[in-house]
Amino acid sequence: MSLLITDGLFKRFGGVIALDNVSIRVEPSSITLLVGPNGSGKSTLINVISGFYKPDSGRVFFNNCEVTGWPPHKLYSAGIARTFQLPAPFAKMTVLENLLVAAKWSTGESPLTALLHRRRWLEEEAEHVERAFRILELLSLRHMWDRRASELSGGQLKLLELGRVLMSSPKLILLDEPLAGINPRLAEAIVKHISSLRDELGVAFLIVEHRLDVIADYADYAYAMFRGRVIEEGTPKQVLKSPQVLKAYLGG
Amino acid sequence: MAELFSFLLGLAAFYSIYQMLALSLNLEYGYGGLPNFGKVMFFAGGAFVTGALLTRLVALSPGAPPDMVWDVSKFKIYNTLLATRGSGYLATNPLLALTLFALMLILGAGVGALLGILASYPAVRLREDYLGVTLIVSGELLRIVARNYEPLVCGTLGVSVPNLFAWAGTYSELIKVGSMVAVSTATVLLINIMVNSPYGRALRAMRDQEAAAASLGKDVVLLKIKTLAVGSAIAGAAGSMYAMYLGAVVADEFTPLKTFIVWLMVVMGGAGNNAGACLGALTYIGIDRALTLFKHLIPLPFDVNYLYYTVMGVALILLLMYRPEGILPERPGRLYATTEISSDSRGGQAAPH
Amino acid sequence: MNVVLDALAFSNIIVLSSIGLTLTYITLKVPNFAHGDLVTIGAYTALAAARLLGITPYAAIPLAFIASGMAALASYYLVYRPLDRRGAGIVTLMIASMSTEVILRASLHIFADVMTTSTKSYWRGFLFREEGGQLTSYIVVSTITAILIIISLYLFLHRTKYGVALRAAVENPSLASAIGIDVDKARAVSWLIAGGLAGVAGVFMPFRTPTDPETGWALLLRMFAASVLGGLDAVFGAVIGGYVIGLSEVLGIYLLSGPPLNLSTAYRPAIPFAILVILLLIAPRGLSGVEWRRLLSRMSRGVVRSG
Ligand SMILES: Nc1ncnc2c1ncn2[C@@H]1O[C@H](COP(=O)(O)OP(=O)(O)O)[C@@H](O)[C@H]1O
Ligand SMILES: [Mg+2]
Repeated sequence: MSLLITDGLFKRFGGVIALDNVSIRVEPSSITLLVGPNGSGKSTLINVISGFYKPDSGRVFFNNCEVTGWPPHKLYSAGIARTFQLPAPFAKMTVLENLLVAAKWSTGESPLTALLHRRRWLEEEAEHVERAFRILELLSLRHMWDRRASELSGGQLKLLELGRVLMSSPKLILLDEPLAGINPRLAEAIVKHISSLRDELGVAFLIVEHRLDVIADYADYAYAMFRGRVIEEGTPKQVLKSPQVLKAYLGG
Repeated sequence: MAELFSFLLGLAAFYSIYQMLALSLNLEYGYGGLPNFGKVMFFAGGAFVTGALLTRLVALSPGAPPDMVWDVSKFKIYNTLLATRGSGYLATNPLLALTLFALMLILGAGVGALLGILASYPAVRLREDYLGVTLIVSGELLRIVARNYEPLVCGTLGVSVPNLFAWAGTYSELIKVGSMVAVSTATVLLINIMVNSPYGRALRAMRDQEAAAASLGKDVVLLKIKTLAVGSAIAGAAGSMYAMYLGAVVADEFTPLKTFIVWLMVVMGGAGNNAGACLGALTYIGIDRALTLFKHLIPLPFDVNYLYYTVMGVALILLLMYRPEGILPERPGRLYATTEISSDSRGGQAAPH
Repeated sequence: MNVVLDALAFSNIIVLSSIGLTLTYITLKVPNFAHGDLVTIGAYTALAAARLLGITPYAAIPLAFIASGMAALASYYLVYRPLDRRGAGIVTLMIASMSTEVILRASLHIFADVMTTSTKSYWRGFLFREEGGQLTSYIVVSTITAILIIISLYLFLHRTKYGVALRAAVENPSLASAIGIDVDKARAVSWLIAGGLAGVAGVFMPFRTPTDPETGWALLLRMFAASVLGGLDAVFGAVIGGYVIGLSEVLGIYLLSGPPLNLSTAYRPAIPFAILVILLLIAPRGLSGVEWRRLLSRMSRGVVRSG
């Protein structure tokens, strides 16, 4: 049973049809790639799945449950987390705080519970901090933990985004160009890390990425989009060799 | 000596009120990024409900002629008399007086919270500039209604409010201001716990990057509603306290200038830092009170307050240019839980508390 | 009939000032809270000219244009431009705008008080009936002035090369600077014109309301109502917005204060304010901003679905 299914999604912006009958599947514990030239609707698809845009028509199923039109925060608690194509850090907060924000099930997140259940959320807080440090360690960001996010480099911001979504142990992570602007060695390390998350924790990934040289070997399945449509699907090798996809990339 | 004492009392009283207003705006804007340009509306809400109810409530007990209470045309004339008689009655009944004090604060906070929830409707829908105009206009609408709809606070004449501390005799003023300081200090403590918690962190996240906060599980709409409710409840309680301190409520006092003053305090002191907001309030109120005291000694062909406003306006603009983070800038990174952070981590902030 | 004429005169003032409000909004996307005080500056300039130079307020229109225009220009160069260059956000600009408002209004208070003591005549609550202007003539003069200004502004912005460049510069600064238009200068000119028009509006104000340093500020929210109604990004929308707001306020209260409601006339300002709040909640981008096509298609889809 697929973890994520989109069924005939349509999304229009004025005259532009950004999604045109898009149906994809993401299996549990897999890495699914989404490729396609700029403007083909990849980010729009991520935005629809993560609840930032409502589709004009079509449906989204997650974990056997229809989630079409759910707001982002509700999808996050259901287990879908995402990153942004342009890093979106909480600039005035420290790296550690950026991660702590993403912790799920924080008791003290409402003014009243913050006051009344202080002991309880303080206990949870200790666990969250520990977890956050483990993630920072993993992403080699630990030494930056008390710096403001605005002080990080572009590559570090990408890592921070990844670290944030890991805080909640999501079932599905949507990554929008996670490797853009990251040096090859670090990119390699991130991809390895992603694949170990898949293998060890059973996390599923839907990844928009142009740097296929690094990631294609680790991916289980791929979709190619062009002008709002899925034009090819299959194993990454099949998709990348497809003449249609080549034509699209060459500006067809 | 007596003069200095009463100056200090006045300073403490006004500071208590404005500290609450500044902290409430700091919660909304400094932490949550919600630009509440209608602060005076919530303040007025608390003052109006106190003005409308307190004198009438007190008048019921000592058996005042009911038509004086319920007939607006008579209440308009006799409310000062009723308030004076009410003060006299309460002088013999401190317990009732203190209960009323608490009741009015709660009512003021309730009305504030209600108005805050109403204000969250535009706040989650409109861009900052449109929201600012909406809230300013809403505040002005409330003021216009209050100054014309006489049953509320007797229109342009205003309504008198009984002194709830007459029972303390010569110490009346001292105990009154002492209670206000206590309420205000309690607010500081509560707000400090609130913002130094996952709630405060979620607020700052929403302020820095609303979309990312939403994608990380924060219900930003609900956060805004709750925050405006809490902030406005505090402002409403402050308004209620203001009415009880001055012993009168006049609708036309509640102009957008009051909103501006609170913004001045928060931006000057340092948005996102409660100590900054308090410092801003103290600075503004300190100078303002001193000017009121020494006004008659300054030989100017105009009211010195206008000069004060001008200077403050210029100061604020300069601050926005050269020190936009305020006198005491925001300090992120406070950890709330006691956690072992091993010594190989760089930085000296390990394991606070 | 009298009511209609009064409403027209009132609307002229609103129209003249809200055009400028919209123009400055387009340049920096900040609501200029000091715009009402620019109107007051125009009124005081005319009063000063009448009292000190002995000319009629009408003759002072150019002076009022210059005085308010310079005040607006100064606020652009001293406040908004430096902040904009430092990358200030919209809330910062709004706080600065409120500060400027307070500075100007307080300065006007100081000016009025100083003039009152030094000339031993009242500079608060003044009317122009005694200063050489006639009660009815101002209705005619203000209407003609408003029409002339609207037409010439339209011709300037749409038919002259400089005006078209100016519009391009304020509406789409990045594109304009790419083709070599001096965006900064265009903004400055916009602020000058906007302030100037507010000043002209100010000359007419004391013909109908006793004027003091608070009068223009009290008009500000009506100007916002007019500008928002017309669409904050459409200069000439403010013309329609201004007439709708002005007429509905004066005629509205005339109707509401009569039987059967007999509302107090002091509720007057509540009319434009209520219009503004409702408007902001249902159609914040003004009437021209309503997406009629989408609204229609949504409605028809609703019909299809239910049918
Ligand atoms: N918020 C939006 N408003 C209008 N058009 C949009 C919006 N988001 C995306 N588009 C348009 O939809 C198309 C697909 O964009 P996008 O999903 O960002 O492509 P990709 O991520 O594959 O590069 C583009 O033509 C883009 O201009
Ligand atoms: Mg994209």
